[in-house]
Amino acid sequence: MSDHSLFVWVACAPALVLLVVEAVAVCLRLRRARAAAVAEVAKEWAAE
Amino acid sequence: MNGSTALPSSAAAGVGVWQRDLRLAARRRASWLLPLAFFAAALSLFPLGLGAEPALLRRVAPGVIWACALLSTMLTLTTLFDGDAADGTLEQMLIAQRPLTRTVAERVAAQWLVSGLPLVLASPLAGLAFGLPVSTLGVLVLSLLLGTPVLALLGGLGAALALGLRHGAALVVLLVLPLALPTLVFGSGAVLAALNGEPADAALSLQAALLILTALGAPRLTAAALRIALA
Amino acid sequence: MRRATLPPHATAATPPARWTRFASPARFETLAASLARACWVVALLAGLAGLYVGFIVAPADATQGEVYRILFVHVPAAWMSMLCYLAIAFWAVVGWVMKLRMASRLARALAPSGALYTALALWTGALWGQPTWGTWWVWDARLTSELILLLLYLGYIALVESIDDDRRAAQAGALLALVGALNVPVIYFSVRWWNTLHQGASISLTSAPSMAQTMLLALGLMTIAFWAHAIAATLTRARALSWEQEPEALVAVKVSS
Repeated sequence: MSDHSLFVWVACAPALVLLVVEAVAVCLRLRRARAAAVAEVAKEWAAE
Repeated sequence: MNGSTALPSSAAAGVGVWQRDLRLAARRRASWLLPLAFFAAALSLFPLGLGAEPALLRRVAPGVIWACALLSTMLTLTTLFDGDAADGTLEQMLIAQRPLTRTVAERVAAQWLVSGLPLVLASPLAGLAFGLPVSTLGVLVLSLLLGTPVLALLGGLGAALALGLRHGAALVVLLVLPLALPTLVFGSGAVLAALNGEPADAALSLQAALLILTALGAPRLTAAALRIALA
Repeated sequence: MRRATLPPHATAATPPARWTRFASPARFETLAASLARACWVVALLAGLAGLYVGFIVAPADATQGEVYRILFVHVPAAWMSMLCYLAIAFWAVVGWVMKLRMASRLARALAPSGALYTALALWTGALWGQPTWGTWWVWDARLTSELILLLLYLGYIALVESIDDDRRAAQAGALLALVGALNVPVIYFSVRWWNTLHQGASISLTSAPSMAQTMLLALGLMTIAFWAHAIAATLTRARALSWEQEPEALVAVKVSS
């Protein structure tokens, strides 16, 4: 049954990696959205 | 367009929707031939793909016939409201005196008569083609008779939710498929039971229950979805 | 003006302590920011602790050996997948009935996380079945139900992403989520029925072994980690949606603070 521990890693490692990737991706999305919004509004104010 | 005016009275408008849909369907033979042709084409994929061994085909027949019926019903329902949305009839329906739920129910019923009922009537032929014993054909027809209206009702809901969207057809199928699985399971299960010589009452009763629930709930939800789509 | 219809005094200096005041994007932003940050930390700590206890401290199982450890990821993922879907239905209906855009946004923010947990539950579930049954996929009631749940998620996401108008997207999504949530018991029942029908070929996924204390501790820690991850990811995504859809409401606060 020794090779079955390999299964455990093949199963769990990608899962954990994806959870970390999702966390990072969502934080990056927030940062991008915030920057874009601030830039947009700043442009409008500058135009006035 | 048709005979009904902008704000028709309740009864006249009801007959108007039925008549209009069925008249259009009779005039355009494609509307009921196409689902039937698709049904036949989809069915023939399976012997060609799986091999023509009679025992195998007989075993897969309940599921395959049901799956093909589901897909061909979906095919015609994805565009149920598109035509009306395009020519403004849908807005008329929304503001008409007639409750939208009733109009939707009649529209779906008419559509089922045109695209679902032919499948039900053609199913014995499909069953024989797959080698189902004659004794099971009754159950097959009954299960499809109970199940295809559920598919039609759910398809109407999907069509209303995805009204006017890009990739509307594929989206509707994706939305409706999970919801249609119970009726597929019970329907093909009934035929399978008949094939094994067991009583199919349990499965058929479950299907009937599902039909009643869906018939009570779906038109109202579809009307709500139409209002959301057009508001 | 498609703002949330808050009572006038809610925007005054001292708003009443009602939860609906967080429907304003600005207030939600500050609450979500601190809550999400706390949850990320909890998720990381609980996750590391859970993995340590589950994979290193807990003993091997008598019957399943090392393979059972997959459940430390599979079980919390499956639980979160179902919880997130119920949460979507809840917030979607709240947003629809009370006309609170923030609630609908929360529902929309939950979906990608929920879909991910469902996919992970399927992935780990399949791999749990392989060493035991020798096949890469097992059509048992639980895994099949998870697969259908994934389809429900994908349908919701596809619908909401295809609609350009935010309000129509939120309302249509709410209706779909509600219909899906109502259907889930029916679907689950029909899948179980289907499973017992095909008795000859039916196999059920390996069930959890009787759990030692350390195993329970690991499972508890992983569950906490998944909860925290879900809350943090959802709140962060909801914040991002607010910035993408209603930047004016937030920029004013940011500039003035």
